[in-house]
Amino acid sequence: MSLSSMASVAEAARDIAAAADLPALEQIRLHWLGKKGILTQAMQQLGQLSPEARREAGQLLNVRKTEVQSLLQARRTALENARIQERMAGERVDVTLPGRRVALGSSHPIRQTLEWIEQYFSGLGFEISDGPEIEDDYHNFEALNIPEDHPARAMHDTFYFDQNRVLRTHTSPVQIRFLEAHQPPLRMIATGRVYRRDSDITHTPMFHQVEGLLLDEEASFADLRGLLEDFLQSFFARPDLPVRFRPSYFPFTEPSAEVDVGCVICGGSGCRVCKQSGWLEVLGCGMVHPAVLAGAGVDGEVFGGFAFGMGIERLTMLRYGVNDLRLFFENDLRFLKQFS
Amino acid sequence: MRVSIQWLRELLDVSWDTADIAQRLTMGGIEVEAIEPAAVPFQGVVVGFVKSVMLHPEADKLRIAQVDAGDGALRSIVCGAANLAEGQKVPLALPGAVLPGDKKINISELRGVRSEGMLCAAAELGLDDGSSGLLMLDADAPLGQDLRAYLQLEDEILSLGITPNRGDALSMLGVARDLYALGAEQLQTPAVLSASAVEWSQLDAAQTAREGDYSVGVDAAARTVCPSYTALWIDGVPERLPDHLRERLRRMGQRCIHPVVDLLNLWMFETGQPLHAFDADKVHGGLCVRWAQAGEVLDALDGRDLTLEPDMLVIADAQGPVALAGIIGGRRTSVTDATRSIILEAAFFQPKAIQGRARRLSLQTDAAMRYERGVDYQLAPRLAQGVLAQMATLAPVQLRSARAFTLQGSLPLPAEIILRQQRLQRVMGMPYTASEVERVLTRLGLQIRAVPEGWQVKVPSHRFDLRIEADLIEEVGRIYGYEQLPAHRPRGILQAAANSSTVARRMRDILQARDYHEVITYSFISQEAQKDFVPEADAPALLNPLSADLGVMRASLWPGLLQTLQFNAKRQQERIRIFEMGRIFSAERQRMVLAGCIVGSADRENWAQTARDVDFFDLKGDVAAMLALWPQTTFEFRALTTEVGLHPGQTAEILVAGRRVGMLGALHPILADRHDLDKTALFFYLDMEMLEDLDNVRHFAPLSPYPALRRDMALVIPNAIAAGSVLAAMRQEASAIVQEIRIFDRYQGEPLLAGTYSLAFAFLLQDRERTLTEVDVQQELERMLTAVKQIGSIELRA
Repeated sequence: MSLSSMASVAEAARDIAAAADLPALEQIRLHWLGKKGILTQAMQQLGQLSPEARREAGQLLNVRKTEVQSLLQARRTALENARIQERMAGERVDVTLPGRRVALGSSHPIRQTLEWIEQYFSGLGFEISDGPEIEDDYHNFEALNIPEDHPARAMHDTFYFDQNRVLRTHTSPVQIRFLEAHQPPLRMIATGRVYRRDSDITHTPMFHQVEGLLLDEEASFADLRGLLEDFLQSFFARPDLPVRFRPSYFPFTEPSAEVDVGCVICGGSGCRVCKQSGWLEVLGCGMVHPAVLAGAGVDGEVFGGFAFGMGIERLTMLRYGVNDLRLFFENDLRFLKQFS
Repeated sequence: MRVSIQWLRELLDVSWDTADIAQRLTMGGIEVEAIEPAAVPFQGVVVGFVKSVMLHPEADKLRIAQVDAGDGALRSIVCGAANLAEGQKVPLALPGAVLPGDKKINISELRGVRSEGMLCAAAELGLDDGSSGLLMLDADAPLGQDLRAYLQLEDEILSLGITPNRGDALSMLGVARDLYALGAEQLQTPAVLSASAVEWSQLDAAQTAREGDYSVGVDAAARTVCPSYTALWIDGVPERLPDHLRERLRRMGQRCIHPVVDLLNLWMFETGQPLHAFDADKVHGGLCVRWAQAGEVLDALDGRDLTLEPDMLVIADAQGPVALAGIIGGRRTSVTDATRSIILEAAFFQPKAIQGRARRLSLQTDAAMRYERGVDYQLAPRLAQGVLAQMATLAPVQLRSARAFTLQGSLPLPAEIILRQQRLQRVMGMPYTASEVERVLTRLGLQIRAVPEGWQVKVPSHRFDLRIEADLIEEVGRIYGYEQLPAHRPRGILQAAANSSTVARRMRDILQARDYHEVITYSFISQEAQKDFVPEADAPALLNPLSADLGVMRASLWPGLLQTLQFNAKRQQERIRIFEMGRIFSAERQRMVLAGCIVGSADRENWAQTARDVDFFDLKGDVAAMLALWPQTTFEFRALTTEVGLHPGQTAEILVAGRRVGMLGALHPILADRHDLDKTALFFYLDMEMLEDLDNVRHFAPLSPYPALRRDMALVIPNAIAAGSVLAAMRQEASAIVQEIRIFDRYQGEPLLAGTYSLAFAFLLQDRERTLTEVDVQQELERMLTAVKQIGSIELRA
């Protein structure tokens, strides 16, 4: 074992550092550590030394070998990194270009309001129900305490098919159909299209309503107020939104109320939308009329409760600041895309 | 309904200002929709007296009036009004006056004649009452007085929205009563109801003179619906309505018609009781209240000939109907300038005998509106007396004869209702003390008597709407104030709502994620649009559509979508993807369907992809993505070649176990042309009700730990055999180890024989129990190939 082979480690380090790529590095590894490599041969020659010299030289060789290995490893890592760096340099993309298939459609703003409301009341245990749009006179009027020729019918400009069949003028008939199929206590919410023979800047012949009904042993007007107050404050996302109950009339509720919220456009100071009143009428409600309960076979002395109904277009207009009702049914994509 | 605050204050002592009154009415259930001044601002106008009139030397249509403004000087005023005459009192705008519209009046010269002011017509003062020419003032109007003071124009008008139940509130008196209940100081009785000059029995006894030619009767069949009818034959009519009454009428939004009619209108506005006057000299052989005969015609005051029906109540004389009871009078017997005697009618008609008739005849009258809702059934005879007395203060009138019919038994009975205190509290959800309840009820004019459970309440004749306990609960609630209501939350049994139908929502979400926009179109469409897709539709047609364009219920969502497509295409939208979920209609059914359509490029134009227009398979992919919600269901797509409105080579129906659940296809080129669409539009629909009936519960299949193998196979297939048939044959033959079969290529052309095409299939095979061998795979492929060959001359592609 010559000292020259020891000294040559410095040479190995030089070679390794000079290796330009991985194949060159591999050549160097073979040159030093391969089967016929310099250090490998030196190890094989150890047997020729005296045991004492062998131990000393062996230890030294091992140190040298480890040294070379670690230099090789370090260089390999460096070269690999360089290679990846080089590859990535060619792979750079312009991250400011648009992504593929960004397109996302939209659900109609009316649908969004309907779904919001359905979800709110579902959370409170209201069952979502539904009824036909071509409705019979009984469910649309009679059973709701609106007999033929009643002046309240003038509130509903009705589309007729024949003497008995109409396009439902409100979602209230779903109350009746639900009562026909369920026993109280019950909670029901129904949404859908309704129709009135009216068309001008603030009326479309078709629009949407939501109807709610709750019957229980203890359900009061004050409960209704609390429920609707929370609903409206949640809907408009304003926990301090003023809500007021104003006496009104619906043939199928008694007592009845119209519900106003503080104008969400002007904050109550008066504007064109609230006609300077500071209030916006958003829904109608009341305690279910005893005649409606009786007609449905519900004992009004045991069960009572409330019903409420609201126009979805108006709520949606207020929620999003839409200023023209007719936009909802024109289906102009430029309008719809704003609700993605 | 309009309310003059000035007039209201005559009927009610109240310290509230107008804003307060409005607020309390609104919160008491009578909604104040608007508050406006009775007169727009103007100034410098006084009561003038026309001393003399002479012709203008230079102009035919102008005259020169010498007008006294009460200040000792005579002013020369040039005036063009045709009704200018000596001795009149008229409004005079003095120099310096400012009229509505900021019109300033100065001394001027008109055709060479100096004019020191202007004589005014009503419209020029913003007091349009329908009159033309100068506004004529009463002869005793104080000369020189400011016109605003003279006409008491500093007044405000409330516009009220009266709900249909509150017939009682369709009068000044009714509004005053509500305000009294709400806390106003004192209710006053209107003069027309306080003057009881003559007791009714005396009137009755006084009619003797001309018995033979004047009779009033109520036909036996009509007595239950007309239980009270009073007719006064009055000689003499007022010539002119005094200024303050004319002005009052104007504020109610009512034009002057004839002094008698105007007066009756005023008293109707005041009391809510409709009144009518016939020209007595035109009534032949007395009056009779009876049901109309079918086909009878009334020449109504609105100028139309109304054809009557047997359920309409009329007032008739010997020659036929002279009025439609409670709705409108007739022209033949109407009062005119020539009228010297009238027959005054004050009657009670049951609402049921009036309701709906006016609407059927396309009429809207003040009388009908009140009778339909119910007027005070005790009021008619009493008001007739008051009218006579009040008319006597305006003109020399004399009662010639009176007839009154009252069938007590047919008058409505005053409702007697028990109001339970406990019930009141339970319904409202708040406590009321007995004294609070009693104060409210008493102030409403209800008679109350304490009973153990609460009160026995007797309803006055003017409150037609109070019939049951709930009505009284509402009265207490609204008068006491809804704003006092606490806000509680409902209590009940906690129970999850059975709102299971989320399939519809998921389908909408899928479409939305695929760049579809949801639209909502009308449920009624035109017959022509219907025929584009469903020529044989039996969907119901509306009897009274808004227009023919909205005449029939849609039997398909496609016409609405096509219209929306066209609407947007016209607005430079080149890529349109829309869907709608809604009902379609047939004679028997109202089915919920989901439909959509696409047109334009497959992707939004972008730098990364080559632009390409959508085709059948884009749409089919979207539809299939939704159908993937039912993984256990096999949906078969079968070509349709004769579907109306769709391309015969690009249309398929979607079947489940042989039943159609939907359809998709390209719009027929002819239809596309007609709607100015130059690119292929594709439509689909899915029947929601049928889909929702399908089981979409998922079942877990254990995962195989063994390796999966892929094998490809290319086949040459005659054109007549559809890919779907080949695939179906493979699937039928495949054993459980075939996990998936994909078509990854389709080719047609050289070197394949004409009339054939090639499909390349990839098979993924895997067993749950073991590693598959090459033998297993070969056997499986062979079997499928054999099966496929049985459906036609299909060969492995070399």
